[in-house]
Amino acid sequence: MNYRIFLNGYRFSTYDDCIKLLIYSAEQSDYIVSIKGFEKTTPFSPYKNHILLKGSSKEIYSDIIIDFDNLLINANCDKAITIAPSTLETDPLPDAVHYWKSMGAVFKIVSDLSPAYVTGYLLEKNMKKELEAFNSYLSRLPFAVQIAVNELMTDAE
Amino acid sequence: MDIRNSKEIIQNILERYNFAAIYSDSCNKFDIETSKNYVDGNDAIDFLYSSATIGSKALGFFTELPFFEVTRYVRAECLFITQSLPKYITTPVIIIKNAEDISTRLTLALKLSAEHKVPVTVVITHNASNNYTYFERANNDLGRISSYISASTFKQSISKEELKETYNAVNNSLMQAFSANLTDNITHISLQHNGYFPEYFIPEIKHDIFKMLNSNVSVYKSEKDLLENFFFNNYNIEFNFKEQEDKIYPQISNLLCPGCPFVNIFARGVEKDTIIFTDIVCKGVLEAYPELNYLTIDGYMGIISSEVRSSTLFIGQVSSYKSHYHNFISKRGRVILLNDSGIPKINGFSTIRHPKKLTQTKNTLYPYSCNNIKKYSKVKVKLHKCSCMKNNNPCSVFEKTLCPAVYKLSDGILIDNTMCNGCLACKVLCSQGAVL
Repeated sequence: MNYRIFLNGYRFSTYDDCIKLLIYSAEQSDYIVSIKGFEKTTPFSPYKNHILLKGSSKEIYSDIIIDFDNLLINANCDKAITIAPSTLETDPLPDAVHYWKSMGAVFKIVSDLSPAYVTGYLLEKNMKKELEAFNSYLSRLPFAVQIAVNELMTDAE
Repeated sequence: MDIRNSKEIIQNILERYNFAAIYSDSCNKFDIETSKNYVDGNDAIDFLYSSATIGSKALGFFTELPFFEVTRYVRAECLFITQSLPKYITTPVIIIKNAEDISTRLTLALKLSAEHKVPVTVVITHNASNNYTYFERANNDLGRISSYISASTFKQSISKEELKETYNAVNNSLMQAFSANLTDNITHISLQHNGYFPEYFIPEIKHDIFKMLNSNVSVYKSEKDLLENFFFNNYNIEFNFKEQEDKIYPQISNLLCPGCPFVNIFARGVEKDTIIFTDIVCKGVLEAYPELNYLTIDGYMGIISSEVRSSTLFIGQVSSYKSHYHNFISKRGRVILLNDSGIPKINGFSTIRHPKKLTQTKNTLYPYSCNNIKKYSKVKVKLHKCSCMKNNNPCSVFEKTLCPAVYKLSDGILIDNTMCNGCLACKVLCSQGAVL
């Protein structure tokens, strides 16, 4: 399977950790990873990156938008799964725990990504709340998101 | 897991090369620790160039590089880093399109500057600036020289012929450095997106690659004018590239800085139908407030030197204000100066200590600028009054402040007091009176 993942978020420290873990996990799962960065117009503008995960030679991609902080205005994409606090039925809070909920959802959707590196990292840093958040969405997605995932996977096949 | 972001790679270079003079404009996108000098872009070039002339390594980060002329050799490395292609190139320019090239190409730029004794410009594109790659530690500084100034240091200028010879030598060095990257067939070029782009430019020296560029080469619509003007202005080559539609990505709400002076000024300090000018180049602010017109302070003084019916306002920095402007602003026009210099008062200006004291009528010395936003007392939200989103209406606070300290929850907003500076723009803009 191939994925086009568009991420954005402005809590830089957590965003940075998440994206590095995602890239590393993808590479360890034998995806070819290609990353694009976008302009930031102010020091507090959201960070935006586009990651291409190529796992098969087919030119068919599933689109995933990881909107860590509910900043999405327009997906500009016919069929994309949007992972955001609003779709995950949770609230974004200053402690950025919601980032790890989104990460759990991503790892649930891209099922051949191993969550081991994320859980290992969170355990090492003693981030219990974040680990719980990650695991809760790794095990189960909200109903609406699951429907969207099922539709997308059916189309991709 | 040795993956690093672009900022970390640049920080690594800064740690290994002892720059004595570092400047970043107010956008400071790489979060760099700078020399504490309140200078604007044009003055910053002089500041850095003079430092390098006497032997102090100098480095400047510019959102847009001001025009600059090479008139003397430098004794130490002098680098100007920008994210956009300079309109007119007057120094060698090295392009960095990918994060994995940051370390090697910045090191190359420093080496070129040291060997050929001229400033070098480096363009780090948006893709390279906001990306991730596996970490490669930069080489250590090649050497240090002590700063030195004599009576003749600033009298020695470079002749045109000498500069041309220097640039030929730079061109030879860069041709060798990038010989492996030569390409046969170019169908598309892009600076900020995927696609080939020349690795470097030298003033007045035409790259061999230019011969391969013609009207069959396509460029993205958003870059067409920029690239065609660039080649014409600098090399007198007229291209009419084929236009390709820009790629479309998800659209995200932009965010301004917490306490952004412009948010408060527009919330409290502007009368209706006022024409507003500023010399502050912040793309985020210019996008959020399209009614802003870019103009230098001198340009504004030119406008108000005559009687004009319309109400006008200029927003600028204290560091660019000169005392003789008082002759103009005492008679007409209105100026708000953002205090980037820590000055307690200016003749003819009303000093305010808190943004909430801003009025719509006076010349005002605003308590802070973009680089030194002050912190005031905490802000609270009365959740029972916070009703816009409960009624399925957009939150006016978030929509109008674009403040990252404001969190939109399912049943109201929350203010993150670690990020909030207490400017109280949200209080003015909240239609429900929910902010204390």
